[in-house]
Amino acid sequence: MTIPMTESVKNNIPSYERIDYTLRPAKAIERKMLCEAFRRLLNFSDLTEYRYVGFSSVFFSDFSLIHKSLGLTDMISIEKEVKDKGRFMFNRPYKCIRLRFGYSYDVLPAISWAKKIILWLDYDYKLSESMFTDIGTFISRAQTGSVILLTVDVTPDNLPDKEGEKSRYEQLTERISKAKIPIDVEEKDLDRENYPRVCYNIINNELEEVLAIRNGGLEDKLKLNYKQLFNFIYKDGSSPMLTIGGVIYSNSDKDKIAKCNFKRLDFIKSEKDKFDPYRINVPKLTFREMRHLDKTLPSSKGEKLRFLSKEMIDDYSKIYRFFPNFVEAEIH
Amino acid sequence: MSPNNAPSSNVVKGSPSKELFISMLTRDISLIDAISDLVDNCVDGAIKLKGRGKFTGLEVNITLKEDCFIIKDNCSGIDKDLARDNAFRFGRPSEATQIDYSVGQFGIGMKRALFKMGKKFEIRSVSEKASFSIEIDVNKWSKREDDWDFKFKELIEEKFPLGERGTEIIVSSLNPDVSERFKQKNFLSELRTKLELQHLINVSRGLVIKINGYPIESTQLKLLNSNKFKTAYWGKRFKMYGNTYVRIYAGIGEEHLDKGGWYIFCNNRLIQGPEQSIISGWGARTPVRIPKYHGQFSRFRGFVFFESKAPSFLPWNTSKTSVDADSPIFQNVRSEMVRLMRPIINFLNKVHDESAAYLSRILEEKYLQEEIDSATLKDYLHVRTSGSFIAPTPKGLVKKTNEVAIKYIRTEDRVEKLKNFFKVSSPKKVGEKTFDYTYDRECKK
Repeated sequence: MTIPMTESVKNNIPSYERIDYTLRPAKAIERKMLCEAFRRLLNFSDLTEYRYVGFSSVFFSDFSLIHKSLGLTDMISIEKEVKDKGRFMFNRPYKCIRLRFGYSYDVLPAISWAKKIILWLDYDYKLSESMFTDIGTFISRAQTGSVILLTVDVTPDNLPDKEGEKSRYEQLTERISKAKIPIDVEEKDLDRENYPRVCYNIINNELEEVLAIRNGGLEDKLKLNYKQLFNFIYKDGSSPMLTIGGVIYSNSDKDKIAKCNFKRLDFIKSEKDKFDPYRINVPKLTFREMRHLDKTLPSSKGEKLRFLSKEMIDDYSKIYRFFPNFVEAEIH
Repeated sequence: MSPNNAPSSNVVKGSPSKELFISMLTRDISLIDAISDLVDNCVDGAIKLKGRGKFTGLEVNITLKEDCFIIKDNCSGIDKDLARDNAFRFGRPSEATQIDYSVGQFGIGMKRALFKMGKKFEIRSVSEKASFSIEIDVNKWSKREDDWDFKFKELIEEKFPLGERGTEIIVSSLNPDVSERFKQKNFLSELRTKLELQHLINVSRGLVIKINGYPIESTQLKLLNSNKFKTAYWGKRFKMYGNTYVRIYAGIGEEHLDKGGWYIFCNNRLIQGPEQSIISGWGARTPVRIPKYHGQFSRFRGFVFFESKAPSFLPWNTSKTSVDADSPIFQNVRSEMVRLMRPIINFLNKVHDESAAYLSRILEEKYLQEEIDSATLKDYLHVRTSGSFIAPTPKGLVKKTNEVAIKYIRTEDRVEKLKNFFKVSSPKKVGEKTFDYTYDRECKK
């Protein structure tokens, strides 16, 4: 199998040099929501027994948050830009974060899977064949109670407007083999509206297939189930991003998963509404407006601001607890 | 052993056991190939109806669910005599009548496919002169030790119009592993990809094959075509092997590691391909040496078609997943394949050398690559052909006698600075400018 180069690799510009990660409110909100969900894994085992594996970039935002709010101390960041090694080492906020340089599909098979793992495959590019290798490594190795998250860019491929240009379907088959594309997908499903769902299905089909293969070798009580928890769609810059993920647990851990009571969190997408993504829309509000709305929340029956649309207020009331605290000052 | 229940005669039992068919033979075939085998039966129905003409209007519908498998076609149906005497027999008696150019000839495919999938089958067929249905419960059947026969559940002997004819096979009580696979969406995608390749010619002849309602697409076998390239073509009729007609097309196509190689067809059904091993000549030593397949040859495409009215002469194995490499006809054809390959390998080597020479600046232009880029991909039936592969020849090294190439590496930031300094856009130009700059100042008299 040939592993396609990602776009960012082709352009030779790592995403952290293209986007200022600290100015991405939707991503910051998603991160906090995920953290709140991870806290419920306590029913599986003490959170400090988990290992967190992610792609930190030079900002280490997820690592800082998870270390500070959950107390995890076993953390591994995978980073492909070996040439910036010094910069990564310098920006590493805590000693407990270990850096592994290389591609995730090389690094993941080499780490230990003896512990429960929270793995966030936070890709900054479009769905591609090499991602299946990472999904495969997690699903075939992870312990019961482990969590997998996968974020991909779901910007549709270019619409062919001249004759001879490749259709969106052809562009998709250049990134992933046709044998991974569901049989009901047609050209019209690859537009802005429907493409995220196609990506969602492709990733889930892969998860299911590898899980079935692993289960083929396990006795009943150890057979693993995948429970989806997350299906986020958000947009900070021009690219819509999709994050899906969930927890794997063995048949004998069914009670534990029930006790986690993930459903209590309104951004959790499992069972019946799992296909319907939770959209993180960040309304552009002033600090004064937000402070005012805060006083009326969580119950949203209080005073409204007549110059704000209902939609803006609703969006804000869904995310206010997770809203990042941006400060526009350099503190000396 | 007590002499009382021992058989009194000296007969040694040589009859097969049903167990052999239910759980042993089914291991020789993959689930996808088992489904392909059932599609082959439908294709034979189509051939019976339309001969070698278009299959327009004929459809094969495959339905895979967690609890059942259905394959239904509107082709010619199974003749009741054929059903009674042959179709459900294990193995085909030598006097059995054959459909010309058919693909299911071993008398094993359908039964093996059904046993592979489940424990209960129902077959309904409407043909020209009769309709019948048969229900089989494998568990019950396997307990009747010496009775191998199945019985018609219903048999109506009358004339049926074309529009009503066809066959439907339903498998239920699926084996657990099969049911598990049918649940996987990726299994459906994989099945589609395989059928698109195996039946590409039948689909291009108009046969519609649907999986859970979604039609598979027709894949084209494309080769590069221009006035500079000619695809190698070779054809021969083998009188001593049932008049089998063999055609070979060999040339170059799209650059794709997973798609390069040989594609071998028997009566229009893809048996193997892309074949990248010694079977099709990669790494061969006779009649000429051929390297093993690797990335440099990912443009290689070869298509071989074996066609015979009497399919028993075709060089395929019973699961139709491989050629019978030992058969004399295949050995003979293989040596032709190897012979036709060599000029293509030579050409692709030259393209590779040219690219390397270009990268190290020994060559100014990639002439062969440009010829490839300006050629267009066309269906193999519509390309220019010749007795052997014809391609443009390299213009020879453009290297001028007193010139040498220099290659060196410097850090990106410093090269960038020099680009700005010299107002040039490429590292190559930076190299030339710095050389000339130094030369003009330090060496020029």
